[in-house]
Amino acid sequence: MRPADNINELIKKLKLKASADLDKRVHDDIYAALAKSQKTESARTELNIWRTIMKSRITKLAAAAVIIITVFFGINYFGGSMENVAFAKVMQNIQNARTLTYRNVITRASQDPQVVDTMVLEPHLMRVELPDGRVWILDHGEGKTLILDSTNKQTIISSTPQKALNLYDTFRNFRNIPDFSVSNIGRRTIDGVQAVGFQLTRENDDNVRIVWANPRTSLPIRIEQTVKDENGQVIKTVTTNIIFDADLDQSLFRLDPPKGYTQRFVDGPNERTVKLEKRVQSASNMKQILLRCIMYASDNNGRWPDSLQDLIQRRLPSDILINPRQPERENGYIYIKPSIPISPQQVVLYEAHDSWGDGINVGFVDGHVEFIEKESMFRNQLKDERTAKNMLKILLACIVYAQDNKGQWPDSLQELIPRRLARDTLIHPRRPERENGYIYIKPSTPISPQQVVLYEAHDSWGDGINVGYADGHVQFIKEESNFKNDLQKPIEVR
Amino acid sequence: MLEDKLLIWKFNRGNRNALRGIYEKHKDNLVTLAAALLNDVSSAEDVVHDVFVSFIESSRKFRLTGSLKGYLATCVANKSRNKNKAKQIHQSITLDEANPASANSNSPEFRAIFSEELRQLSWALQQLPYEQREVLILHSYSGMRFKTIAQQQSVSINTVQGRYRYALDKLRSMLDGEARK
Repeated sequence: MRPADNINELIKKLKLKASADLDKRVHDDIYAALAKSQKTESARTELNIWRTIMKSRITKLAAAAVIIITVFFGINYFGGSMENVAFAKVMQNIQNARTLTYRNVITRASQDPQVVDTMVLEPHLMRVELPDGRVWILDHGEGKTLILDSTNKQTIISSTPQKALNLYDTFRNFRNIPDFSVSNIGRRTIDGVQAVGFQLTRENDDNVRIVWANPRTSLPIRIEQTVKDENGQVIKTVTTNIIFDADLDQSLFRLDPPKGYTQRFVDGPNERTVKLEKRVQSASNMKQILLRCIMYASDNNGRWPDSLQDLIQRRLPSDILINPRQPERENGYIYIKPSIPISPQQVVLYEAHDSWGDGINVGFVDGHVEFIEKESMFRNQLKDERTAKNMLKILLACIVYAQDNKGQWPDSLQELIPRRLARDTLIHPRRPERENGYIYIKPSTPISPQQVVLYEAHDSWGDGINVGYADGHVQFIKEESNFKNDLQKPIEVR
Repeated sequence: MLEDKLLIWKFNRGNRNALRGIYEKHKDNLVTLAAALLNDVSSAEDVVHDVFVSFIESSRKFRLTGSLKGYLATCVANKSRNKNKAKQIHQSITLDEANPASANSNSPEFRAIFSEELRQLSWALQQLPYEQREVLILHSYSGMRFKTIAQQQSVSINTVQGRYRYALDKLRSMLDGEARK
């Protein structure tokens, strides 16, 4: 065939690849623009909060108190620190890395240190070389793990990602640390380079994470972490030999077994595979439903559909609502319309079930789906969400009451019923047998925004409680000592 | 389409990974489109970069009405047209000093990238007037409808279809000529 015969087909074959330089330029711009917009957004939010505060006499007083305290202690409340700016550059490099190689020295109590070399090919692939010669290859995208045992010429294949490997995935772990703050811990010479140290801390978290970075390149050169695993065992990890964007051959991450190796599937017999397939298929259905919900919300000013039937009217194939794990059910999934404000961890969809079995798929408001094995964990999550929502409603009713009553809060929560609050809001979802599910402390005037005014009634502490503050926010507090501190905090008003 | 909707939803909420996802998904097509319009890989990358800078700046107010691919292709076509105009003005000013063949289908970068057949096509595309080339590339490569191209270029649909036919005829004759050599 002559080229002129099919010019259109030929034009479709044109294919150029964007250069690494363009990638870097765009990624840098993305980072810079979003950093800027987040700053503006937070300033805008602060302004809105400020307007809201200044509408009410009571919150005006509280705001005045905060200003006095801020000025008194010389705190630049709204500013960002130099540490954050410098560390942001380090994080930017971590975020933008296409490949990474590094060495971890891992020390557990009463064990010899283990030296593990790791290679990462973003976004999904990781290769871990263990000291005993075994190699683990993990594909996060496909959710597969391959173990190469060269001594026994054997491969072990698992169709689920192995949690044990998370320990070696230093940078993915780093990217996923939520809400941390950064402090500069000074300089130190590491391998002849003057490095700057940043310590990352989180509220109610004893784990220690220190990043030593080259101030010239803003690249991390050493990372030290001391964390506790699920069993409370302390694990110390030191990451060195960190190389960014080295050329890594794709073949290093191949998930098919080499020739001459025997294969073993750890997921067991066929039935288990079929079961897993159905589970995955159901999760895929749920992702589709969540996607449609998100699209619906996007077209309706953030409002989610009232029921899944609304999606059918918008051409969601009805068979997606049938759970392949329980095809006999007409409605395979339970939908909970999310309330506003939406938190990313809010449960909005889960598999309908008569008995718990090995677990259920649960869908969250941000569109992701997780398989939850423990029923208690799932039930408590639902109840905790309802508890926090009820407490927010109570606080809001109190604040509105105060606005209508010259800044005076109600003497008891009973005063809010029924005009401002439904009676069942005061029943604690986890402890419905209690008459009063929440303890209310009428705030003394003048009011400090951080004054505890409401908390869950409890006999024992358990894993924590929700606590409501005078400024109308609710926080889950894990440590009892922190809660007691908040309760006893003097009212900082001058 | 669904995936794009989700990416845009996250993008509106300032999610950096969503932006990266959009860029990674569309970058090669956009660079190819711009390079086919401008015959210059380096200028093409500048255009794609500019498009993404504008796109990033619109993050919170951006609303997708059609397809994301089509939207980005339109942006690239508009920027390429402006760049081409600016280049023409510059060339008319510095005609004596300019080296118009600095980046063309015989340049090392094109030679390295394309097969002989595609190099011939790239060379032939260069010989077309810009308006005809733009219609042909937007329709055949980006799959854009004539009606959309007409709205974009502020001309009638008949003009666009005419440009497309002329472009195809010229390409045929040029490529036939090359093939006979």
